[in-house]
Amino acid sequence: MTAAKHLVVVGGGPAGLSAGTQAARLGMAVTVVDEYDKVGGQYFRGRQDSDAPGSPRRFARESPAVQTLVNTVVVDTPANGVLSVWSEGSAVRPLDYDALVLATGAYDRTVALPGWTLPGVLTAGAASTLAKTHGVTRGMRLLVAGSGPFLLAVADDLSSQGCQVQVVEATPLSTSIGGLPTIARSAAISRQTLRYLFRLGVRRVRRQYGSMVTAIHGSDQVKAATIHRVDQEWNPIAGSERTVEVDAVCIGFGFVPQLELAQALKCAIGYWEETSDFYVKTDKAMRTSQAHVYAAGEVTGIGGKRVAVTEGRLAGFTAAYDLGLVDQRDYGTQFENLSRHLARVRRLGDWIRHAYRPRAGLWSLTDSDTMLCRCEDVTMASVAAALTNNPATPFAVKTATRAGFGLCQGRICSPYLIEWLRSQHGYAVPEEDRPWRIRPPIRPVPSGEWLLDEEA
Amino acid sequence: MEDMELPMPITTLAMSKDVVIIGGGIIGTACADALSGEGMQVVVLERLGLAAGASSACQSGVGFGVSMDDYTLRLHLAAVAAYQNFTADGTEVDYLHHGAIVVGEPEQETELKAGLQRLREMAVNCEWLDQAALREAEPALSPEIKGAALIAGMGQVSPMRVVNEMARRASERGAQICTNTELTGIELTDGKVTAALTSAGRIATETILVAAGAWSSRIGQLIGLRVPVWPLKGHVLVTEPVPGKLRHFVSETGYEATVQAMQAVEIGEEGPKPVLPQVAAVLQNLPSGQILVGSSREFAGFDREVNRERLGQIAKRAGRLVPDLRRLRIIRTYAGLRPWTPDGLPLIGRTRQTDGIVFATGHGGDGNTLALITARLVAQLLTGQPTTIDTEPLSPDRFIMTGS
Repeated sequence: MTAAKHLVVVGGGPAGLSAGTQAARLGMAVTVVDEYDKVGGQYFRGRQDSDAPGSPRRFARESPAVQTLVNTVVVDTPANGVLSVWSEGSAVRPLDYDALVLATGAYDRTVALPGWTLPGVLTAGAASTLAKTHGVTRGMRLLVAGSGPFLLAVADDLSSQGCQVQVVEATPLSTSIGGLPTIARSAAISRQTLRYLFRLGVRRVRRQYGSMVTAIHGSDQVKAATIHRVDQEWNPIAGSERTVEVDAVCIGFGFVPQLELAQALKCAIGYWEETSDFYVKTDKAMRTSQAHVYAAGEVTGIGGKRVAVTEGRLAGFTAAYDLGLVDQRDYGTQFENLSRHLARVRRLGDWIRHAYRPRAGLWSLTDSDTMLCRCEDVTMASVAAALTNNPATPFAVKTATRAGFGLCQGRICSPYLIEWLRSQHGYAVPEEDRPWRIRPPIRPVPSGEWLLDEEA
Repeated sequence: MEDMELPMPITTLAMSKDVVIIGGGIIGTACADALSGEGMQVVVLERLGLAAGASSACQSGVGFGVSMDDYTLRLHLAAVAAYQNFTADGTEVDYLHHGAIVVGEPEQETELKAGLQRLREMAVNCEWLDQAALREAEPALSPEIKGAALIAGMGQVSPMRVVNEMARRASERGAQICTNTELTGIELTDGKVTAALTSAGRIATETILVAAGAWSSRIGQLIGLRVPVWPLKGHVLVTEPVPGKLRHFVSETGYEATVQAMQAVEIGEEGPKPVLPQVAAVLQNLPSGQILVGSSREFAGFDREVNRERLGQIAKRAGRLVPDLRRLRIIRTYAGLRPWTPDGLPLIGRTRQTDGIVFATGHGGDGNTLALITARLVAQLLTGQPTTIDTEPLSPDRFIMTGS
């Protein structure tokens, strides 16, 4: 008997855990790698007791044989079929795979606007984590601003900790109401939304629609924020502004897929111009453009947890099928079932992504002093100066200003920069690749642990 | 960066220019600055973006070597002086001339000290630091190092900043900077250059300046000139920010040995014959706090993928000098292509082999250092002024480029 085929899953969120469970059931040896100290991803952080599909609890029960490597990052892709993985305090080591599922999830989308680098400005994701880990104090005045249903979840988390929360949603209320028929198709989502709205009502959380935070004020800490009403394209309406005193601002204009590993593996990357999203291209069975590399969950385009779970299952199934572990008829049946389910759950995800997508006005809030890259202290004034003699491309801005040269290597600023160049300077995004090159290592790693063999 | 940018000409080309400069790297933009300073109408044609080649995939050193021959040393000293003048008015290109620490193997100490004596004769301030003095001067160095040379005047610069600053100054004097614009042909009439043919149209000119770095031979090919410049690949690692970790430009004498080893290479039909890659430690702590860790030299065609084995060799060499490096996180690595010539000197000036072609290329690993002096020499040669230094050794006509 030959050794079991090895599936490596990168990212232990709902997509990764579902892929792992599925492949393990089909006889594969599975390893799930996750950067954090627990699997479950952003979605299940602070919800360790949940037993929902894709949850860590259910995963532990259903897939006891799956190996999980937590606090572990993928730092390099040195050759076909092998990743270099690293956890702090140990040497980088190779992790061989017969099949690989990319389930690396998403980052909060960062938007540059005046004051966004002040202490006290958080991404919505970070605010949600703070609330769940009791990192906020009672009575704090918090502004939750951005677009999309995640704002309600964050406002719920924060107000449950006794914070004074107000929500500023850029998308008009009519859009949300227009989505009711789509939302109503899912009993679970309907219930959850009603629960949020009820609780926010009880806690007197004020919600404004069709409004946007346009500037944040303070010298060494957030003191206040300016809010404008916005038109359909999110352009601030002159004269509509008001300034509110707040202790912190949580900004959530949705998420951007984490594509570094996919890019390092040279997987084809797609771009939806309308929703400003890059994503890993896959076929209907979750295969990327690279053989034996699959993608599932938010990396294939932000779709939410239910999409992630189904895509994860399908990716696990296809990976096993491609290695000859599933016969064609079984695969055909399962593929049909999962595809049908996927089409159903994607309807809501697609509607949300589309309805709450960033509009043009979001990319022109900066003034010349606004920071683009906080790692290298690059202001929008230097970016504008760089364009005098350079083409309006991310690469040119990068070399002329050092934007994206710092510790985060552009993870924070590049999504904004690309959209700014596109919307303000007519930059055409290339096909098949994200115009922000990935060089090893994928995550910062000491040379002594990555490149040096201490024994030698 | 190859294949990163979509062709998208951003400017309408003028119909005629005194000089058409090919290449928007540190050499081409410095020449644009110097020539427009002489009142010439110039245009820079850059196939990709400014600093897209070696100028954004290199280290940042500005300096000279201990074992250079007299002429090369004088050229480099003139180059360093040019940087000091350039930045004297406060022009901000991250230029530092904080001196270099050069570490040799113990058995090379006598040789290194002799080299210092020669530098002193050329009016360079330098001294030998014993173990205690070295600890004081550069605490991050390994305590096992028994002594090293401290050489004043050496330093570092941000080549990307120099390129953008030069482009800015040149365009203020009327120079045109055309990025995403490729030279597609050179029009010759009776053997003389009469126009540059580009992806954005024809520009009438009598002078084309080839400053295309490692890609210069491709320009020569357009008119059947075999330009003796080949890409010499180098790797660099970038650490997390540790401001002030190194107080000097730090390197080892082995660096010059690697440069010389590559010059011993034989040229075959297909270019330089394969040789073992060379690795030596060269470190610069940038104002942003990151340390650039190099270096390697190898012939690998135009390939710019990083080779992990080479990164490991560099990390090992550099770790011997600065032990803490092993603990610093690497945030990025890259490889770039230097324009290598068979005798290690650049090609600067006109060629008798085609009337109207001028070269400013082939600077090997010294493009940052030599950019400003190259630009000055080109300006002097094109305007018939006396040159700062004898340019005969740099003449492109030391190589036969025509015939088969």
